[in-house]
This record gives sequence, C-alpha cells and structure tokens, in this order.
Amino acid sequence: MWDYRDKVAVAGIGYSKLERRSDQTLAALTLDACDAALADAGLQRGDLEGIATSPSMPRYGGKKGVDEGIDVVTPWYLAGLLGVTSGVQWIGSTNGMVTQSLIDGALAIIAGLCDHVLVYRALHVPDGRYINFEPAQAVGGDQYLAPYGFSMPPAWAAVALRRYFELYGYSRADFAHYIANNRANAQRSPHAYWRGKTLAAEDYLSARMIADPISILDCDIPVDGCCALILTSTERARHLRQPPALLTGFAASAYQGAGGTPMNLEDMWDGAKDVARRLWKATGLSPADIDNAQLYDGFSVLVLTWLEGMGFCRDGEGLALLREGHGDLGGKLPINTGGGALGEGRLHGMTQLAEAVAQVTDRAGERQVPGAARSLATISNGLAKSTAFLFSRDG
Amino acid sequence: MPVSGDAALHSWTVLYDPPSPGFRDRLPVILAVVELKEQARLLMSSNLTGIEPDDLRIGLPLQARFEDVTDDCTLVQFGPPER
Repeated sequence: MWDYRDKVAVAGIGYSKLERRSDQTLAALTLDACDAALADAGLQRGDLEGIATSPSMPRYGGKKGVDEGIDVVTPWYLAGLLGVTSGVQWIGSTNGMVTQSLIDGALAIIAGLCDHVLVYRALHVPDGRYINFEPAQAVGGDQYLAPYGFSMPPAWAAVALRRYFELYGYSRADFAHYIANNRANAQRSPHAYWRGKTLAAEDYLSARMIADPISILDCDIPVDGCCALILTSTERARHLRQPPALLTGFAASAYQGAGGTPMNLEDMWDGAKDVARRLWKATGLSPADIDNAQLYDGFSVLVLTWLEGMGFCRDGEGLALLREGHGDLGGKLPINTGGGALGEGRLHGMTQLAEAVAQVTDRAGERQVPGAARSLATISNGLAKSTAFLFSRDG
Repeated sequence: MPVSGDAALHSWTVLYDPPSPGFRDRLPVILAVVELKEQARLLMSSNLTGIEPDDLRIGLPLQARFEDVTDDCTLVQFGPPER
C-alpha cells in the first residue's frame, strides 16, 4: 500500500462559468475558478505555494492556439495574474493530462515543498471546427491515420464502440438509457453546461452522427472555462472551511498497446486493467469498496472500458448494467453523478475529480449518494497518460 | 518482416462528413481497422473499397490493394479478396 494513503486532501473546488464561447478571456475565467476554489477552502491567494496544470490546447489537426490568457493559461502566467509569484515555491506543467498534475501536487505537499497547491485546467474553444485536419501533408504518426480520414478522435472512439457492439450484440439503443440519465444527472449539477436542457432516449437515437456509431451526444462538448482544486495535507485541511476529501491512492498508466489505431478496444481494456491493478494495490481496496464511480467520458465508450477494466464487471457486461439502470443515482454503483463531461463540458478529467471530491464530502447536493465513503475517478482512455484516483471520506 | 496483405476486419466506422477537404467527393467513406494475418493485434488503419457498410462484420476477410488517390499519392487500402 501507498505509505501516504489519506495524508493529502482536496480542500476546495472552484468553477468558472462553462460556456460554449465565452465573452470573457480565458485568463478571466481561470481567475474566477481559482478564486472560487480558494474561497471554498477558506484560503487567500497568498496562501498558494504551488501551481500545476497541463496548459495545452488539445486541438487535433488544426492550429493549436498558444496565446497566453486567450488560448492557454500557463502556471507561470497564472502566478503573475494571481500576484503570488514571490510566494510560489513550485510550478508544475505537464504534457500529460491535468490529472498528472494532481499527482505532482500531492507529491509536492508530501515532500514538504508546499502547504497549499492549486491544480487547475483552463480550456478554450478555438475558432472554426475543433477537429479539422488542415495540413496538406501528414507527418509522424499522422501519416498512418490522416490520409484515411482517421484524423479525429471521434473516429478512433467509433471503431472501439463499433467493435464492442459487434462482439456482444449491442446497439446504440442499449446506450440510450445511460446517455439520457446522465443528462438528468447534469440537471442536478450547478456547473453543467447542459443544465436546463434535458434529453430523452429518442433524442440520443436520432442524434447527428459524427463517426457512426459515435454521435454528437457520445462526445463531450468543448467549452470555454476552468475548474480548479486546492490540495493540502489532510492535517491542515481539517482546519479549513470544508471537510477534506482524502486522497487514498492513485495510479498512472504508461500502457502503450499494440498501435495501428489510437483507441483499440482490447488495448483500452488492458490499459484500464493495468491501472486497476495498481490502484487496488496502492489503496488496499477493491471494486466492492467503491460507492460511486466517476468514469472518464470524453467519449461515451470510455465509460464501458473503465467500468469493465476497473473490475466492476466482466468485459462486455458493462453496457447491460448501464441499460438496466445500475449506474443511475440510486443504482448499485452510481456513475458520473454530476453528468460527467458529457453533461458538464470538456474539462479533461477535472469533472471526474471534482465530483468524486464532492461526493465524499457530502457536498453534492441533490445528486449526493447518501453516505458515500469512497469515490473512484478514472481519466482518459486507459492508455498512456491515463490516471485513476480513489478519494475517501474523513473519519 | 514482409506481410502478405491478407487481413481480417477488426472494426470500422462510416463518415458522412469530410474529415478534411480531400474527402469531399469520396463520401461516405469507410474507415477500417484491419488485423493483418501474420500476427494477432497487428492492426492497421485504412479504408475499405468495393463493399457496402451494411455488409461489414468483424472477421470479414480482406486483401490489401494499392489505390492511386491522386496523381502523386498511392494508399494501401483493403477490400474483399479478388482471388
């Protein structure tokens, strides 16, 4: 087991408004989220000693914006915006997903480098189509994908979901309950982009196809916005404004898979199982200990590979469990209780982290799983850069 | 190691909107992941030609072919075996 089990905690959550195309700059939205997280924890900007994120624009094919405060907000720039440059002991910036930053931040606290660390993710929706392969030539790994039209992540996810459907005899109709119910969960989240817009199962079945069987409702919607978390030691967190969410353990994946296609179903299962093995070892826990699961849903199919890969059921059984309502609030294992990224908007895993924290601190309002003691958050597709976190209630 | 070009269909998707401008007059396009005969999980991304989306199933036998998509670009693509 991890020696520092339950020694680090999340003490605050902050969100900016999440909008499709905001009138505010990304810098302003990021400050909103960071100030909200600090206020939630009962801290001031000057209390921050560490700042960490993954600041890239995850656009595929088209031009990635790099303008500070508009397209991206790097942690160095943010330290200046916050006016905390002289007090910051450590800055973390990762090429992986932002959830790697949560690991980095926790380790900075354990190392005694920082008392309070801010982990944030700021995302901006670029002009034009988010996915549009613009270069006339494809180089590197793209040369094996883009000439065939495999130049967008929805098509990668589509071959995984198609294979899942074909292997186990499912169709999109089997996914409709989960998708509609997930949107219902989003109605109970104050942050969700889709709050105020409900969805019926029939809407899912008639949704516009992006890459059959992946429709627009199988993809999280890109938004302008930011989510921020405050990390500190569990001991310090107990004296702050909110109950702490204890970080019981985490696991990170370096699993590559066979290649040939970016999201092969079997490789995503294998990667998720590798993450699972390490997470259960680090925490000394098992799937039976989990009260709710926040499973990454940048694409709907990833909910299935995580549900199965983490060991909640056998391969191929996950969609039947969702179809029967076992992942609903009130079900055996409530999943994405705040609507996930499909309901909240694209925040690259911050959604799953923030919701797991909210659940184990009794702060999830009308979507609270009663008495939730342990929440799981999994991020990405199970392959390299994926992470999983287990948060526990204090006491 | 040389490969024979024999493969089986691993999975696929069908696009009705062009993923980039060059696909505008090639729609709908079948994007396929094929498994080469020589090794399990030796996967390759490609397109399928000479077959309709409704006729696709996992394991469908396929054979590589070379398609001149423009005057200066030839791509490996897959279709039903011709022999």
